[in-house]
Amino acid sequence: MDLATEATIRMAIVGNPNVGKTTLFNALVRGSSRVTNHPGSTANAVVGECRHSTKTLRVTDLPGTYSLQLDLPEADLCRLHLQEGEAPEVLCCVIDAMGLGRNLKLLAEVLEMRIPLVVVVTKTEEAMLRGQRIDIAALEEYLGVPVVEAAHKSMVRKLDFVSLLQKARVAHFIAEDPEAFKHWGTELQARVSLPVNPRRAKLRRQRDDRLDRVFTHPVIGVVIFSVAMSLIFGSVFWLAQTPMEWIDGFFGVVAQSLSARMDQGPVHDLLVDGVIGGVSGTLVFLPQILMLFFLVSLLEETGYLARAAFVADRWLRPFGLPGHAFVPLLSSHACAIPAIMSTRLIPDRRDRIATILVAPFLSCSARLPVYILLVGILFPGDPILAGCTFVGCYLLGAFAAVASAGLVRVLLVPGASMPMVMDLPPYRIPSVPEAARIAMERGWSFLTRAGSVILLICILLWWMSSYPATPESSNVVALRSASQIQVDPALAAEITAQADALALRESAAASYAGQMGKLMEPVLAPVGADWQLSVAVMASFAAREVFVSSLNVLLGVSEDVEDQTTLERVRSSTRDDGSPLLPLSSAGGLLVFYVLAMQCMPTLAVTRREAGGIHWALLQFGWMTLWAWVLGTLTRSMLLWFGVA
Amino acid sequence: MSFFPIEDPQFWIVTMVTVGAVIVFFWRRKGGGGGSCKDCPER
Repeated sequence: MDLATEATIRMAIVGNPNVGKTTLFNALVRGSSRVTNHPGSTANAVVGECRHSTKTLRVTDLPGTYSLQLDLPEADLCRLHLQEGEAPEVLCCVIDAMGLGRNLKLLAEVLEMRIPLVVVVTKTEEAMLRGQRIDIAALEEYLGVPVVEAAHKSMVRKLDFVSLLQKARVAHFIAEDPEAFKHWGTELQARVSLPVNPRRAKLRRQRDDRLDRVFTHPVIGVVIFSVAMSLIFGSVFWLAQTPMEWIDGFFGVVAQSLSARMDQGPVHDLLVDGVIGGVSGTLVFLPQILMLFFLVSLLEETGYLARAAFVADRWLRPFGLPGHAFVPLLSSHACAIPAIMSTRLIPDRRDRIATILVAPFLSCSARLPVYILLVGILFPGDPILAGCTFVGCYLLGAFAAVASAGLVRVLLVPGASMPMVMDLPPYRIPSVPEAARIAMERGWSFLTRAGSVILLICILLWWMSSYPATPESSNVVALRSASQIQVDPALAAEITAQADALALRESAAASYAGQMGKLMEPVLAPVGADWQLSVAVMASFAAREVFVSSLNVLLGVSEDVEDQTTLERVRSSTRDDGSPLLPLSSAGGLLVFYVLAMQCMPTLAVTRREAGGIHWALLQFGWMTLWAWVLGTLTRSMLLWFGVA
Repeated sequence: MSFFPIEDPQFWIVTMVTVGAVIVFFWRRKGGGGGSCKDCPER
């Protein structure tokens, strides 16, 4: 088949686990992807499309496998995809320079398939630091197919892939027997893997070993990890404070200028309270999210996070979680959905189920706005305590995850978990532009979410908290009459303001959202929620971060608070009995509730699909909600017992 | 006694916008849009 004349090229990416296939896939399709499976296989592949001038490239990111002959769902799917139905017209095999020998089995199998092939060699920069250079030209000559190098994962994005694909060729390699394969592999490594500056590499390895002894120490390693995370969270609060004030101020100005130009009425209220109030309630946390991801990416680039994974493995194993679970669990801090999908790399089904069930306990980025708001109420103007509480939230989520995993492994999927094998990357100076790029990518994803799903929920919530309308009660009418007969203008204005506030509150309480909140209030009252907070908690079942936006919309409807920042707005709002809306005890109870609650519909859908049944998703939802409610109630009760109101 | 201000044209405008938002919300979810893994950062 002549790829140069094809309008649509079907390509599949194959490779060992963790060699950089998904980085390449994401760089090619830029988010336009869907998950697919193949009849006869329980594993999933991700399919995406991209256009390059006149050509459409349909890319399938196959799950990582060490060989196509393994009896694993991942290998089954790769075999089925490559040999049956709409087989790819071109293959891209990704191999990792850090473990070249380990990649050869799959590479040999792919070469034998007689499908036009290109090879991408990743992590060559890391291999150089380890004193090993891959001779790309020699590898290309030896394999007889085009080979391209991606020294660092950021370079994957710069590959001219379409022109590379047009050079794809069928290799002429057939290993007649294991002995021939062994000879082929040994000769390949001898020809292409060249030592570079061995003395310097040895010194570097000795230095890395010394550092590893400290960072992977069972006790010191944990202390260092906790201190590093506390410092990161503390600086996130401190550094992001000023930009947050700018964003809040900007939306305040927009709302005020809109109010000045428009007549009062439902359209004005929808725009100011529903759209601007709701979206700004989430967007204001953008600087913190950017800062957090920037600092974590810097840490990852240094090579330290892989050591943290090693330390965590010792702690995970007694709870029945395999070492393989660390990467999905770490990914869960960004979002539980890709984390659950990445559990496909865990070979044992019981290990996979246990990891899927507990992954959403780990604090994802959607929880950040809720944490920031509630921690801001608990410790205003104290970044150190706020940072420590933040770390506490992450630790509580991690503890709940491992404790639940222990129970799952004993009660539902008994058996020992598999040992973990991993490459520790060399230590190096982090790349600031790469960390900035990752932070910007995450920030953009957060922005698009605030502009889409959160905006839509805010509009619906505004309508539900505004209608049906109610005529003014006798109390409001009495206050208005009192204001009219008052001779002191200042006092008259104050009574009118009281009448307005009461009318707004009564109207919000009688609305659909108010009725639902009152229905839910008895269930959530032990955690510290009144009817307004109950509405926000219910609205956030679709997505956690909606809690903050919902509160902003509700308070915008029920209180006269247009010129206040989000934090001030929540802090100054009151309940029906005049007490503060969110006293410290309620903020504590709700914070614990949000750390543990399963409030993410898409995650439940992915759990159902990946675990293979709705009963797993229902179990996950019930279990997490139960923990959240019980511990949230306990936290609030303890705070009240200690005299914290 | 609660009521809907049906004589107010603005009530109909905000209601239509809300109905549109609900339709878009469910349409996007069906298509794997907002709230799905497509929006999640790669890790």
